[in-house]
Amino acid sequence: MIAKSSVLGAARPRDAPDVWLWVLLPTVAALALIFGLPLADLIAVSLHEMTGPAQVGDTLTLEHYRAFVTDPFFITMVARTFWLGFLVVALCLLIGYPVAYHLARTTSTWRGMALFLVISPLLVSAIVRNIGWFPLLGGSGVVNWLLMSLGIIHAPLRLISNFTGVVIGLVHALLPLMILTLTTVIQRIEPELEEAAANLGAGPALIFWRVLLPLSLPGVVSGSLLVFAMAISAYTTPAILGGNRVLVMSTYIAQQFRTVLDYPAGGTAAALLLLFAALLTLLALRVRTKGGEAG
Amino acid sequence: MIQRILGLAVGAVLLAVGINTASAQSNVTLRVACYGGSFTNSQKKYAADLYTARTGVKIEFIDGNPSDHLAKLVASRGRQAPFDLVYLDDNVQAEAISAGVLDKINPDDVPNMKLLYDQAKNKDGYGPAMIFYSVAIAYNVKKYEAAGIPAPTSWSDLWNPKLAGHVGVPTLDNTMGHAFLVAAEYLNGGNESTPEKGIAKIATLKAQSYPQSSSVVEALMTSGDVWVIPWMNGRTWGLIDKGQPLRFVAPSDGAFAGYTTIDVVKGTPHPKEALAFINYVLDPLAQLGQANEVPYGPTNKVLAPVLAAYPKLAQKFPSSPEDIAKLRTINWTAFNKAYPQAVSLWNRQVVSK
Repeated sequence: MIAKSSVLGAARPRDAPDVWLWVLLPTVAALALIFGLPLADLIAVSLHEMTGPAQVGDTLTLEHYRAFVTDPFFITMVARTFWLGFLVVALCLLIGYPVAYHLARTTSTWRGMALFLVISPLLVSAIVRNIGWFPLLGGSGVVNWLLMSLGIIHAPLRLISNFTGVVIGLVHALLPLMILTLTTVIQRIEPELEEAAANLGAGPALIFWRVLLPLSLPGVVSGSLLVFAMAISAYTTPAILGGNRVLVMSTYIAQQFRTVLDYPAGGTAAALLLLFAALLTLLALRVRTKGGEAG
Repeated sequence: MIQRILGLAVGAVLLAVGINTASAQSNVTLRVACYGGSFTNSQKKYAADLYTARTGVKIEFIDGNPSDHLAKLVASRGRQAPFDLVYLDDNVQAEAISAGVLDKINPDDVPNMKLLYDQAKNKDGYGPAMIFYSVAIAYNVKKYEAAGIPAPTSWSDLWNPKLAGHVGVPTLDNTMGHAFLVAAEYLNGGNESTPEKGIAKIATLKAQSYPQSSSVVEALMTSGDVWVIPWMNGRTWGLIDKGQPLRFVAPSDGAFAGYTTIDVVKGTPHPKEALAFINYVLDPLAQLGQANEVPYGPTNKVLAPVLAAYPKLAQKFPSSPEDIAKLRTINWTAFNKAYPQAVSLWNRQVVSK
């Protein structure tokens, strides 16, 4: 029995790729056509000079890249973008982990309802979801009104049209992705492991730290990666809830492409954002494989 | 009242057309780049539908932002044009003209052009303005009264320290933002070619935020977070009509004129039909219908006495020759040339401060 399955297991990597290659080929070709070509064009545009609105010259130049990486203004913008991504990931983990744990372990009949509530932000259009925060977070909004009537604060907090507003909006929008990713992974951890740890005298904190967290690490890493990538590339939320006070890479790219019609400048920032995202993904994958090997 | 008259007029035209020229047929479909929303709807109702009924030429509206339309026109140069006609903001029209994607119009081909205000005619012979709007100061009367601030009378009143943190400043992405930048340039002793003066002036303003889209401005004005903002007549009146405590005032140093233009795209296979459509857009009936539905001012001067008889409607937009003469115009050629620099300065001095 054991021998048979190991034979099968050994045979799979040799036979399977041929079949899967053919199955995947149309998809890969379509993606290359739909995403690869425009991206290549975008990078090509970033290597030319701008000759007028929406117009690009013929001579090749690296000037836009030089200007970007040597200007403290752009370095700050990149740093701000990453800081935003980091904050959103941290908050999503902090809020999402307990919810995901509960969803993975509960047998309550309300589980379906809870799951629906978790997914609900994804069901609303991004613009409606963002505009919906105005009556809640504004100076005379519900949150400030509540905090002031309870005497917790005396002057309204600035919760919108700034960096705080963008963080709140992105956490709200991306939390479902973090929770869903974590729930799937936590579900696969046998509850018996936690019981065994408890039997051996470990408290809840120790169980979390020594059993749950290491075993759910793949979920934490992939959830964080997903949320980070979406946070640094999000456009609608920074554009609406940032009150255009928060210049991140996505809003800068949109501004150059859609308003200034300076394609090379926008293309440069877009190519660099793509590069950063690709590097981070590779890094995260490496961390994950290493973690897997160690475990 | 005017609503009923318009309804009857459109009905009568459609009926007359139905009886007389039921045989009007054509295989031509004009692709018209427009703004979308209620604007496209009213253009369809008062110009396109009548035009199709009379001539059989079909109209297909393609909605989007003016700069997106321009980008598509530039991208398709040397190939088949993506539209036959295009509605643009006047500043984008200036860019489109210098990019060489529009055709000049012979006024003899568009009889209604003779009825337009001079301000609506393009001096280089390109497409005319089909509506006027104005960019001035929209403010919340209740918030002003509560804070003891007198009603604004000039652009410089936005710098009143009592308004700190409550002024909305439209971004440089839209016409309102452009006009306010020009206002700031002149306040600081400059003009359209000196964005550094305007940006430096705006940087000293304690803004609540820099909203881009009208939906965000509407949310901020309604929630009371923004007390005052340079904005356009149509949108402000939309909120006033919904019962918001707002007022729209022209500052003494001048409200700005905004135009929406309509042009024939260079390389269209149907220039004759396109020109005939422009004539419909400039027709008094289409212009009055448009003004009644979405409050923008007609550019056909025949309507001035009609509008004077309906002050409730006419107060919402520039409607008399005097109103229109008072509006400040912007040198878009100079402005557009300095625009990339203005955005760069804006990013560095206004947004990142």
